[in-house]
Amino acid sequence: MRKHIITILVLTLLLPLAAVQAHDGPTVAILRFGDLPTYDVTEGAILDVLESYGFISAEENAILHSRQDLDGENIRVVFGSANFDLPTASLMLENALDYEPDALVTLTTTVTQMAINATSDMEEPPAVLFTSVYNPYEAGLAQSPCIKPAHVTGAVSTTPYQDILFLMLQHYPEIDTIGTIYDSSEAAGMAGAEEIKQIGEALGLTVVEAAVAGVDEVLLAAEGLINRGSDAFAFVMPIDLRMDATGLPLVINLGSEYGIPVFHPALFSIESGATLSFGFYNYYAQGENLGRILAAHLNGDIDIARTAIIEQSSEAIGVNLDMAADQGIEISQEILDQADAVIEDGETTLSERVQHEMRTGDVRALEDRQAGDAGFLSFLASQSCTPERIAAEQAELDGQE
Amino acid sequence: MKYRSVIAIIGIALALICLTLPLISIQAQTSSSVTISNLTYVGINTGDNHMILSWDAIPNESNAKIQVKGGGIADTWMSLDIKNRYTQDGITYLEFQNMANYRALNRAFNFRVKVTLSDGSVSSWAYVDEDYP
Repeated sequence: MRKHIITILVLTLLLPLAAVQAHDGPTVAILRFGDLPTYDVTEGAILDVLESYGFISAEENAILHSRQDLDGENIRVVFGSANFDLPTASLMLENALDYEPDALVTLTTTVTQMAINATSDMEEPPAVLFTSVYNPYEAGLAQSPCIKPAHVTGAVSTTPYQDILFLMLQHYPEIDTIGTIYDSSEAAGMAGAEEIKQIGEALGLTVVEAAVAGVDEVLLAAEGLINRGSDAFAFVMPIDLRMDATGLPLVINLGSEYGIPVFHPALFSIESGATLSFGFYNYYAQGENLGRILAAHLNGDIDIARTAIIEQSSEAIGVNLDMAADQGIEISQEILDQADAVIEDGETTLSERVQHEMRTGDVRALEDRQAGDAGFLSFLASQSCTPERIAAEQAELDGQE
Repeated sequence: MKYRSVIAIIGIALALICLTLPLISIQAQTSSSVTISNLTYVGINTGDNHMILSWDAIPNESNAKIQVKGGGIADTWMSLDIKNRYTQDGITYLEFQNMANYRALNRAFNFRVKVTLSDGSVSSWAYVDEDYP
């Protein structure tokens, strides 16, 4: 009897390992720091490309769109989300690596940083393919597009801090002081705040900043900045995922209380209450670009070591009229005419081009997408990390020291 | 009496300076945004296989950034390496890889350019389309 119990126990323990190893096709883990609708769009685009290339069927794609793991006929896909929590992200990564994946698709700077740290000492690391990443060089993911770990590549999203400051001064020239807050453990936020400071000061603004070590410090920091600011004060916040998820609403509430506008470089931050936003909106296209790289990697058509990190950007203006009214801020017709996302009476209206970018399930037949994908991959190949390019980038880095 | 007039004049002068200072400061902020004029798609340098854009040279230009989208290959703006940048007869020319090599559909490429001056100030984006077909 005891023998049978031990056998059953051993089998029970081995079952998950057997399940992990039984799969023949490639395994991809799609990992993100937390849940945002924009990540759903980006991941959806990656999955749509995988469907075009026959890695998944339409039925499997529908299942995957709800973030359920799939042990499919041609591929295994596992998902992870860390609820913007570092210990959870660490566990998520360990779990993903247990599957011995061929590729880790990482969304956000933090998860990408952790994925690189966890895989850099491996003899045969999985490819780390990233997107939704800001300030990768300041965060230490890489030193330059080609001076990077050999198993890592991806697409960097640029942040239009300069453009949002231009927009602010164009329409609110009376603003003379801006405040910015960042989480001291979030590399993208730190780098963003520094950029806001440099650009702001070059434009003649007084910039006051505060670093916080957690969301419970945000309110005090924001009040401190308001006290240091002038009567013509505005918050200009960096892209900082930990702040954006929980800290930004606190800053916005305080802004409303004091009649202070909040400017933010991510289009949909107006849905969290930012007064005016100016930022990235091509969430489907960025996923599609990464999906192309992923499909090419899985098909053995691309050498990740030689694929340079690419930089992509796009901008659209968002306006929260409800918040502006609360803050007593006037929004000109000129801004409204340019805006692609407007919130009024609690309703969000999107322009056609942004609606198009927030689509899901746009699966094209392989023959319809091959020309575009081939053009994109040829373009990537033209940017390839040759010894000459690596040497040039190294020389530039040396020159900056 | 004379002494009182002098004090009054100084007072008025100080008040005027105080009133105009913020205006000067606002002027400094808004006028620092640099504008690119006459951004033009020049064509292809067949010798080097580079595409060329040009614009009216801006005093103290120190750097430029160029991005591309379209051509059936990308819906987001992607940054390009600059192969050559020079100023001749008041016009700045910028050369970069010939994107026509990667065209996937019969669509023009769209370009945008931003210029940095030696004092660190940066222009807004200026936009131009490839002359195609």
